[in-house]
Amino acid sequence: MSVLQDRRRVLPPVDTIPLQFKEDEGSSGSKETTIARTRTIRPIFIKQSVVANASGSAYLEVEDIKLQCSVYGPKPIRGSFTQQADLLVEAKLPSLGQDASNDKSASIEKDITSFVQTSITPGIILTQYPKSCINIMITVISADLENRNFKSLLAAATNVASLALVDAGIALYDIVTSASVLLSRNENGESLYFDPETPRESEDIEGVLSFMTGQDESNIVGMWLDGENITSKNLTTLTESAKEAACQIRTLFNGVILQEFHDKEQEASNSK
Amino acid sequence: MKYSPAELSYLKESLKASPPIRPDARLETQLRPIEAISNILPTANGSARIRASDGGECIVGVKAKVVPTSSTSELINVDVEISGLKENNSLASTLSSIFQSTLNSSQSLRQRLKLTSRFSFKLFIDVLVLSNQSHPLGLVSLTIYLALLSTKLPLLTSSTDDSKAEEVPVFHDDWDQARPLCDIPVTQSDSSKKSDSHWTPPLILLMAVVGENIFIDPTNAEEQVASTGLFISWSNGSISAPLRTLDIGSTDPQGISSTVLSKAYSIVEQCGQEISDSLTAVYVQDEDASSSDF
Repeated sequence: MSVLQDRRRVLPPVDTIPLQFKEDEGSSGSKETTIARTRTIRPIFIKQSVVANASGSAYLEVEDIKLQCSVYGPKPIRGSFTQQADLLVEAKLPSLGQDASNDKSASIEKDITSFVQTSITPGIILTQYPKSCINIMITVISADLENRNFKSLLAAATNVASLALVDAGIALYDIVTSASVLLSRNENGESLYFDPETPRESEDIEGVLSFMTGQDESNIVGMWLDGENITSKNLTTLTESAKEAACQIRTLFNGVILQEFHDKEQEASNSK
Repeated sequence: MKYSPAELSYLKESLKASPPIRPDARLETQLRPIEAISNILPTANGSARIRASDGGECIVGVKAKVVPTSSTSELINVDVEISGLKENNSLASTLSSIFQSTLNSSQSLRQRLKLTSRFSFKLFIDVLVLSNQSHPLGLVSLTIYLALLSTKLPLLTSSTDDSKAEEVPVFHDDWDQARPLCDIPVTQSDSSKKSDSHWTPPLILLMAVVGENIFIDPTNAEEQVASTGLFISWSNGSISAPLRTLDIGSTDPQGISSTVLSKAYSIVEQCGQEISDSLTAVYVQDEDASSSDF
C-alpha cells in the first residue's frame, strides 16, 4: 500500500483519529418530543405540480424529510401487447457524505422502491391503460437515514407518490395513504406513537402500513413491521392505529387536493 | 409461464372457494416436498442445498471471518445471486436486504458471534439460486436456515478478555473441537439437557393471499392470481420481524383485510415450529451420518 500513498500531501501519523465535536445540548431532546406527541402526526407540507415537464408531480415535507415525486405517463410501450399498464417505481437518494457506502444507499433505495410499488399498485386501475407504462420517480431531497425513523420515510414516500399520481390524472380506485407507528414496550407497559421520529429500541415494534382508506374491506395495501416477539394483539393494535393515522393523512390530502383543484380552475378562468 | 385469462379466472375461483382447492391438492399450510442436505461444501463453515419439487434449487454457503467489532456495524453479510439474472437485479438485491436486515436484527445471533471484547466473527452468507419457478424467497429462507444450523465456528483458545491489551484471537487446531453456531442437541444424551442458549435462526415464510384464503409456499400459478404476497418471520418459537407485504408478480394486485392478516399470523404460528423442526431433523440426520463415517 505504501507505494500508492499520495506523496503530494503531508500525511498525518497513521494512528490519527478524526476530530469529533460534542453533540449540541439541544438536539438530545428529540426522544422527549416524540413522547409528548403520541396519537398525532407531525405537520406535513404538500405541494402538487412542482415539475413542469412531468405528467404529474408532488413535493412533501415533514420536518427533515423532504421528498419530491414525478410521474411520467401513461406512455405507450414498444413490443408486444400487454393487457394492463406496467408500473415502474424508482427511488433516488441524495449523494450522501463519504462515510456512507454505496451499497447501503442502493439497498435503501431498493427498500423504498419495493415498499412504494407494493403499496401503490393496488390503487391504480392498471387495466385502463393497456400497452402503456407509468413511471414514478421519487427523489429523496433530504432525510436523516442514520438517526431518524426509516419507516416514517417509507410512509412519506408512499404518500408523495399518491399525490403525484392524483396530479397526473391517472385513474385510481382510491388514494393510498401510508402511516408509520411505533409501539414502545418496556416494564411500564405499552405505549403507542404515530409517525415516530426516532428508530425503535430493542423491545419496541415499529411499522409502516398503507391503506386505501376509502374502502371498508380489504384496505391494507402495504405493510412492513419490524420487532421481535410480535403477538397477535400487537398486530391488531398496530394495524388499527396505523389506519387511524392514515385516515388523518387522508383528510389532509383531500383538503389539499380540493384546494389545488380550485386554484387551477381559478387560474384557467383568469387566463381566458 | 403465461396463463390465459380463462385459466387464471378458473384458478382464482378455485383458490377463493371455501375450502380452497389448490391445483396440486395441497393443504393451505402445506409446503411442497423438498430435498434437503446440509454440509455439502467442505471449505465453508456451514452450507446447505435444497431442491424444490418444481425444479427450484438453492445452495447456501456460510463463511466466517474475524473482524474488530468496532470496524463494522453489521456482523452478517448476505449476498444473493440468482442464476440468469444480473447481479444488480432488483429481486436479488431485495432478497439480500430482507435477509441481511432480518439476521442482523437478531440480538442472540450477534451475541453468539462475539469472540472477545474487541473481536467478533463476521458471517458471509452466499446464496446461489440455481433455478426457480416461483418466488425464491421461501426456498432461500429454508436453505439459509439449514446452512446456519450446520455452521461451525473454530474454538477460541486465547483469552476472551482483551479489553486491557489487544490480543489477536487464537483458535484450536482441531476442527472436531469447533463449536456449532446454534447448539442443536444432536445425540440423545444431549437432548435431555435443555440449554437456555438454544437458538434457531429465523425462518421467513412466504404466503400468497387469494380472497380470504392464505396459501403457504405458493406456486408460480398461485402467485399470478394472488392479491398480494405476504411474508412473516418465525424466530425461536415466536413471530418476529419482519412482517411485510411483497409484490410476487400478481396480475391483479389488491388490498387485504385485517382479518386476513390475523389469519396469516395464526397460520405461521401453527406451522412455523413444524417446519423448523423438520429442517432441524434433516441437520441432525446429516450430522449423525457424517459422524458415523469415521
